[in-house]
Amino acid sequence: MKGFFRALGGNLPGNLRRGLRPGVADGGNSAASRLRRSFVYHLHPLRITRRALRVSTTLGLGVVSLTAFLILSVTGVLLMIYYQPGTGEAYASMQDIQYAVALGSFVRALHRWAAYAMLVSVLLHLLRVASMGAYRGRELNWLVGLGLGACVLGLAFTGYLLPWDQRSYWAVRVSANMLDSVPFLGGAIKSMMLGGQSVGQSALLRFYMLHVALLPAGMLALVAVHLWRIRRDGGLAGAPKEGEDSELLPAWPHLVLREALLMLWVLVILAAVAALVSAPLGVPVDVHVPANPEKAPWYFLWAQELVSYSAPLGAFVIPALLLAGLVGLPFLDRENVGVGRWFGTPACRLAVLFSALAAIAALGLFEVFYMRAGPGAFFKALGTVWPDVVNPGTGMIVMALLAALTAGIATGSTRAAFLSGLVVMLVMLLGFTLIGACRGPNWVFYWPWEGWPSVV
Amino acid sequence: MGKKDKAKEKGAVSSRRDFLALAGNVGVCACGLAAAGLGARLAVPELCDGPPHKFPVGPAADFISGTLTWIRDREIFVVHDGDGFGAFSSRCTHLGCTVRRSTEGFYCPCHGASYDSQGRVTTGPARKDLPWYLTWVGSDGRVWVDTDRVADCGSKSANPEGSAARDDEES
Repeated sequence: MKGFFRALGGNLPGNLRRGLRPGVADGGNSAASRLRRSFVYHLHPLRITRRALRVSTTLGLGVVSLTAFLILSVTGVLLMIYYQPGTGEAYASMQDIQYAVALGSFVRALHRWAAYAMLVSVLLHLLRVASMGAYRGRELNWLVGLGLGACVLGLAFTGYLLPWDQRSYWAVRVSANMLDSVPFLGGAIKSMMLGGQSVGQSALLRFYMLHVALLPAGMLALVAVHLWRIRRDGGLAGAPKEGEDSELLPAWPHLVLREALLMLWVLVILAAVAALVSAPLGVPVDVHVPANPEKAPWYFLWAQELVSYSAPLGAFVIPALLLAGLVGLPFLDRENVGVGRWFGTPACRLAVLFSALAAIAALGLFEVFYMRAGPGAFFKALGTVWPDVVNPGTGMIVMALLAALTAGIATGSTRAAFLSGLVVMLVMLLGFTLIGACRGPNWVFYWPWEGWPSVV
Repeated sequence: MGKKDKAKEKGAVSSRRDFLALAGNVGVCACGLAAAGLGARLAVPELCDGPPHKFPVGPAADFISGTLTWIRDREIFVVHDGDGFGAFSSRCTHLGCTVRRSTEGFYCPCHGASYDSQGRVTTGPARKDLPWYLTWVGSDGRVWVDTDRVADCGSKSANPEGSAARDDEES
């Protein structure tokens, strides 16, 4: 590897060589000077603990997310060469990319799979930091991370409309109407987002602007702050355990090469998947007739399932509760015990485990009673007002609060309380995603082994 | 230094320099927020695109009595029976998908809401009935609908020229 970098800068003029090659410097050849003089490595601390290097400490999820973002930027720019954001041209230009342009379907597939990888890795990254209490003393960076998470969701949502096929049009038309349930600001956000009251040319152009300019720019700025704060906040959270090896190793090559290797692996795996599985392009849009069923993309299926119980609940109450909880978390949890350990203390681990099991059991019961009776019977039994108050979504909130309360009283720890509530929400939302995936025509539940009836 | 520390202990802004620095920071932040607000204002559409809200849906003679016709481009149903013409929305009041006809009335394929033959909610996540609109037969012999004027459920205009609204049909 050393040879590779030497070869890289071998014939370059001095200044450039010093910038690229982390060893060749005016003064000395120490690890420290490599890091100090190189742009690529200036983000890293000089020395790092053994614990920080272990895979199980972070699972490298931040690096995976960053790599996905870089892949998305490059493939996104390539797609912009052919894509045209017009209601008449968009779908045709997607067909060009998919079927005519050299490497077009590969680049599009890579963009799609990298986007999915980023959604998953960003979510897991958030859960990793939350479960370790690693936001302690890093309140600002936790908020910056939440901002990044919002950007990722925004990019996924805006990018979904761009192919202008049947699924993407109806998904956005339905989501835009969800904003009507957001109090005060919903209507204004909707008309700003769509440039009118319906999803048409103005909406497509605005989504395009958000997807290729505003959100990536915001994301780039936040990524820069996020990475800078990691160093400012003293690296990874958590002191070494007693008796644990507290020896410091130079970041070059121990950390830097591991990161480079992980980035390469992410690229190789995503490229292999993109080469084998191309991204689907739906049927041309019919702006007046939705398909039956019209399903949201998998990462928003939970929201679709929730709005099918109650629009205000899925569109506003649950997202707002989750956001408020996540923003408030580092300011409510002031405990230093167990920081940097998976699920903190043994008591906390136990509380989280019990909450997860309770949530799975509740989901199973719900599956047996509610789904067997069918949502029609549920709505009939409750009339038209009560379904907004009594439904599986509010059941989830009540259960999360109960789990948080129980865990908080049993362990006396805010973090255990929060993590227990969060794990209940996660298990339930995953359950709603699976139930949403099983929805067939007319939004009726069918088991995966049952066939869907043909509908006209 | 000692003076500054004391000031900090009191938590007060003591020196002119501190005050000016604070005022500068607040000013820059305020300007940034104002600029962001103006940028957001630009994104609020002033012009309303899309088709007019008052429109003809076809010659009255084309609608056979006792039938329900879906006007695709306008996303409304037009009914014609002995009482005259009526029109109501085909957009589900839950999240705006187009409803389809069923044996009992209408259902929405997106989240399973269903309505009776008059567009009243029977089950599902929708909370409101499908809205009816003011409908009349104009002097040009065409059926007109105004989607800005909501009518009572099942209301129909007398056949053929019984509506007070017909004088403002020229648009």
